[in-house]
Amino acid sequence: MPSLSTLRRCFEGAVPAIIATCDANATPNVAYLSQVHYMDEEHVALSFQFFNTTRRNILANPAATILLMDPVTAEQYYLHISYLKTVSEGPLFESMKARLAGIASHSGMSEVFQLKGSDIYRVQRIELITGAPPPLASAPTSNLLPTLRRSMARLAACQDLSELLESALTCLAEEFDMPHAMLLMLDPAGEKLYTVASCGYHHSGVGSEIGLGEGMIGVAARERVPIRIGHCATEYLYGRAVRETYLQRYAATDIEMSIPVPGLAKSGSQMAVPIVSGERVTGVLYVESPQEMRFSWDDEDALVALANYLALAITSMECCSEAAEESVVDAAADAKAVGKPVHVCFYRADQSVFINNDYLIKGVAGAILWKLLCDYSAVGRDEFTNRELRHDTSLRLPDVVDNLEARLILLQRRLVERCDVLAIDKTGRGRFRLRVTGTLNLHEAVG
Amino acid sequence: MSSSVHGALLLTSDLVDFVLGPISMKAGSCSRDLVPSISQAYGCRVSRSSNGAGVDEVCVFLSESRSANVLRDLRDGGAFSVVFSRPTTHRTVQLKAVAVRIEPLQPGDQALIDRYGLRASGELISLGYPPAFSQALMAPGITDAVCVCFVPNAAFDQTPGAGAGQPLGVTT
Repeated sequence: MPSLSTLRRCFEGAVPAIIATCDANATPNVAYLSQVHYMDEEHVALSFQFFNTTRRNILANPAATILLMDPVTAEQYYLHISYLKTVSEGPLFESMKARLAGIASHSGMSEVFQLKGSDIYRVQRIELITGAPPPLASAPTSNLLPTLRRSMARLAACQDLSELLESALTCLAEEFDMPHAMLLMLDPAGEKLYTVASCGYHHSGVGSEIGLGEGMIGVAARERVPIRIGHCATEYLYGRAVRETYLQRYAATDIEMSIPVPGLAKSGSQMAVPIVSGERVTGVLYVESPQEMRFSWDDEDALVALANYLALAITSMECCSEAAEESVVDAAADAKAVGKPVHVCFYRADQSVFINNDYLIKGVAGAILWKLLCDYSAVGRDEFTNRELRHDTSLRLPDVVDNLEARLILLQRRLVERCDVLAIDKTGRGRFRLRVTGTLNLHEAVG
Repeated sequence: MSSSVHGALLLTSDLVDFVLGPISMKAGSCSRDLVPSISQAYGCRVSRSSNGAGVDEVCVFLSESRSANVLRDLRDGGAFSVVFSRPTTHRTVQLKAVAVRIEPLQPGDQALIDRYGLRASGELISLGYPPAFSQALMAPGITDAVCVCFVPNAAFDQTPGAGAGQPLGVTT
């Protein structure tokens, strides 16, 4: 008997599966299924969209049979299943809801397909239908284990968080052939994900934010569940979702401070994998492709493994970073830079920083930059340590998990992209230098 | 729409044209101990009943070896249902019957199966499915087909949408 996991490509939706049920009077009913979701070796979940005959039948008689077709070999299988229960919230439900939205959008049925619940069934027996012509040859599928092994080796060689994040994206592009990707970190308050690195986009989008639960990235983080869709649904296009939510929530003037989330104009496939360490969501690994049905179950397995490794590596670097930081050096800059005037304005209310009237960054990263610039301006310091930032109460860093490293990376990258007179250069473990090539004119705005 | 005559349905010409089209057909049954079974069908023909009542009889073609469970239930006197669905339009109709008659193919039936396979696989190819796959699915060279003949007593629209689940042709 084949194992359920070997049939997973039958669940991708390329050929719809069909279910037979029957009522207490032994009247059979046959219906097409929108989605069969592989849960584990003993369970599948079916999308419950309508109160139909199938629904009535399984509530009265839990026995059902599914006809599955392998989209490559054309082999057919029976899945003999028994209904257990329905869930209408949580990771399984949200993952199926996102996929259903993609399927509905693809088939022009967005108004029709609404997920009411995920019906969970126990798989009792799998049966290959015999008497068929020999199966069609299937092209050898790429073995992702060597890919994963090489990627983990590259990540293991990284010395700091910046290198780790960059290396993760390089692995996705070079090892997995997934050139459009981004990494988002969850802020310690657990409300927003911010883009800390990306590749394959015209604009990096570093610093752009997605609320927890917004779009498929936000849902993947909130529910701690990987979400993979082969046809993209408008309602799950994160950029649009984020922008609309933002517009609803904030005044239009605030939009100028939002950094657009990177994304393909025409995305065919998307996958968001939460980076989870224990109970804590660190961030989200996201890939997309213009090609529909680009990402397989095996790709999802590999990226979940990669994200798990990434979570451990990030946590390990956070734990070790403070211990390894070098001692405070209270060195003064050799000489204050001279050059073209740089007008920096800081708004304490949201800790936003504007350089020459252009928005740069806000939040903790904005507060960090303001502190650095004030110190530089007041006493001429240009060398700083992560440790002193961590202990600076004015930055409002949380006690336990502060994401300081990630915020510094974010600040560093925003400066590279948006400001040609300020830069942050790493000078050692836990140490960095503020490089100023203009004459600072600092102003703290009221309000 | 169809109309009901003495507990049976008279199929409209539109519905007859539909079930004879290049569509996907799946047949369902149920055992005495309430275990449902399902299998693929490979075409059908529709005829006036031999009893002269003018009732449309539908005969679908099932493979003896590939539909073993369904045919076992039907030979045991079980009820029957068939879903007809056109992949290009999603139009879907289910016909049900309380009993069936299973008989060997009649002259011309094998040609109907071959013609159905050609048209149905062509429909899939037009949707972008690979030709070899489409043929393997819809025209796998069935050589052990039998006719499952029935007079539908109920029909339901199963096209996804507001009308899904509505009975077709229930008139007094």
